[in-house]
Amino acid sequence: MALLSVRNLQTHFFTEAGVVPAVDDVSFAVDRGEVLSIVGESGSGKSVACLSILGLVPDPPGRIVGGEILFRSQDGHEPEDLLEVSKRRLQQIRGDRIAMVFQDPMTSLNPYLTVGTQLVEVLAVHQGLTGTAARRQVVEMLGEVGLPAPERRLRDYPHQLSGGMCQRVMIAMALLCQPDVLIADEPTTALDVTIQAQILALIDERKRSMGLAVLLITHDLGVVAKMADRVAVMVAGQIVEQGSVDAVFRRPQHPYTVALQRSIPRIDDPPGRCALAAIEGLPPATGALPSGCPFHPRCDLAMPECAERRPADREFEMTLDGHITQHRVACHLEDLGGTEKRSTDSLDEEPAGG
Amino acid sequence: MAEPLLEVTDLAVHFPVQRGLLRRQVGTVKAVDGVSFSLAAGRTFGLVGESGSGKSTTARAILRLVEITAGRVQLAGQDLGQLRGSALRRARRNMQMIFQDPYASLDPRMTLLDIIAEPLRTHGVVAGRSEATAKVIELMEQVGLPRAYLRRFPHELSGGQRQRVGIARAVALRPKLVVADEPVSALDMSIRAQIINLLNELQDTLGIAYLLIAHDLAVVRHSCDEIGVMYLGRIVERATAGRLFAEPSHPYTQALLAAVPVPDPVAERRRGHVVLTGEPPSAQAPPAGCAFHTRCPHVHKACETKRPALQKRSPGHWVACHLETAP
Repeated sequence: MALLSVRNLQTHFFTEAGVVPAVDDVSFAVDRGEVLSIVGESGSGKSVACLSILGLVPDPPGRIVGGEILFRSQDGHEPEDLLEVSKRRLQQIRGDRIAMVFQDPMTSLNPYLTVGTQLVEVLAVHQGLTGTAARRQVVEMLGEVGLPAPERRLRDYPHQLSGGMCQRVMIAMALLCQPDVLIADEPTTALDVTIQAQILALIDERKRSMGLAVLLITHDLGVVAKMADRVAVMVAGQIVEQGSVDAVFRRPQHPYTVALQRSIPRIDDPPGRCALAAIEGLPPATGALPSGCPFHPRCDLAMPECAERRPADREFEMTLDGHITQHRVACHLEDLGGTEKRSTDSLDEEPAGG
Repeated sequence: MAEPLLEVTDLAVHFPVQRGLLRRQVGTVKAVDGVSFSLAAGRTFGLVGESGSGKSTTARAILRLVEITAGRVQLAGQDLGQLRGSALRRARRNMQMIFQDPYASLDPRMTLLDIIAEPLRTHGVVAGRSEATAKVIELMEQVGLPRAYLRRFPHELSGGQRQRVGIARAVALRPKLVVADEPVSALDMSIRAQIINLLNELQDTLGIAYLLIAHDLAVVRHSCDEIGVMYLGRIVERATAGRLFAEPSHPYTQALLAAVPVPDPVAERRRGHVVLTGEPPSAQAPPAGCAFHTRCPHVHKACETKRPALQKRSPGHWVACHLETAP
């Protein structure tokens, strides 16, 4: 079993206007030394799914109404269900074994406390480490994440640092206790591309050298292609496609994944201006989710049944460059083919890259 | 080429740094320091660079939203820096702006009708209420908003729809120049293509020239005829879009392009990992010589003392780097 596996998670928001299924029967898993990227538009539920793991969904109005979140804190031990453990146990795990980095580093740090105070506090809470020993460890970690002159930075307040430096501090804070899992919610969206490249390289290095498992939430398909081993694509609270990064980019099976990739301009496009293949229409509004498949109102290939019935997940094996990967897609279209396990050989005959 | 619509010559914008109770000036931030480029009618010029490079300040100075310290901005042969009062107001009909944040740039208490009609009324283009309404409906159709939205408020709209309202307001006066400052970066990825296509369509039908500011290099490449790369208040490389991406010549441009991930896992694995280290230096104390020399992988002696001038590399391609002139 994987290090962290989320099964049939349902997180609903109970509002005056009704119940909003922000996360609606979502399953994914991430293992040691692996990056799982969750891709989706704003409101697709990708952030709520990750907040659910750490018990950080604001209640009320949010509540986890179903599913399980299995986490194996030590190899060989039985996994714990984070939805069942005590508050105290969850607090022990959060920040220590599973750490999180948020999108906006400027608002995630406490403006009243120095960087040093905030970092030392993490060690004091989780490892009972204080004084010079804690400070030494903090300085070491700040150096590792590439913050220049880390000794001096300890006395700085967040406003004295740039956005890129604040994000390095946030990542240092997340990595201080050498967690098993890092949940990174749009960690580089607020940063310039050159700083983004540095932060991503840092996370990638930790994955390779320490076996860090990473849940990377992003809307940038470039970042996904660079970082992810596997990808889950979310639309309106549901995962519509999940598979290896190569499969999702080179053999996308869901019409949404296909349309999304076609719509974005690329830096390596052939020169010259032409109309982009935009996805027409709007993402579904939360509180007014479509019936059936969440993508059917915008889907070029929609059939009558797409509006009536939510497509079930189909799992199958896909062969890519001689490797077999597990793939999961929720779309009625392929259902019409009938066979549960499809022949994959024909897929490889298509020219790669398109 | 015909007379350019917009001609920017040695533009500089300096801000005083003040300290203490008496607001004593203790320094100067040279946000924009000697920027020159020109833009023909109906074309698009893109400005790219990291935050703090001065690209937004350049745009604001062109629109006279911040005061120009030195240099000249000419729109259709008119020196904008010399204009005052009603003459400046008249000139503003020809230059409009689209903002980044469609949530913050629309008055939440005004209906779409009032928002889009406001520039028409301010500049006395429409006479009565019915004429204004007819004109607004025409504009809404042009930007792809249903006319049923006429009396709705911004909060009833999605981000993409709000940006359409901002665009309708910007093109209402049929301006010759529209400055678009990060017009799609606040939008969802599936909506970005719609808005980029809309901006390009409007350019084709109305002949608008765009000054496009964006940090997303793929968007810039897709929409621009010519691109200027800014670093600490200066343009370090300027070229046609095709040439800039095919032959990036300034080490900063190369680093910037290398840092943009490509949505293709196979191509990503093949790419070299040239990670530009460090952060841009402070604009208040820029390095001597070439401002990029503190982060440049090809730095040599001359770079630390002598600032390289923007020099022609080939027709339509200008670079400010000592490597270009070295034997």
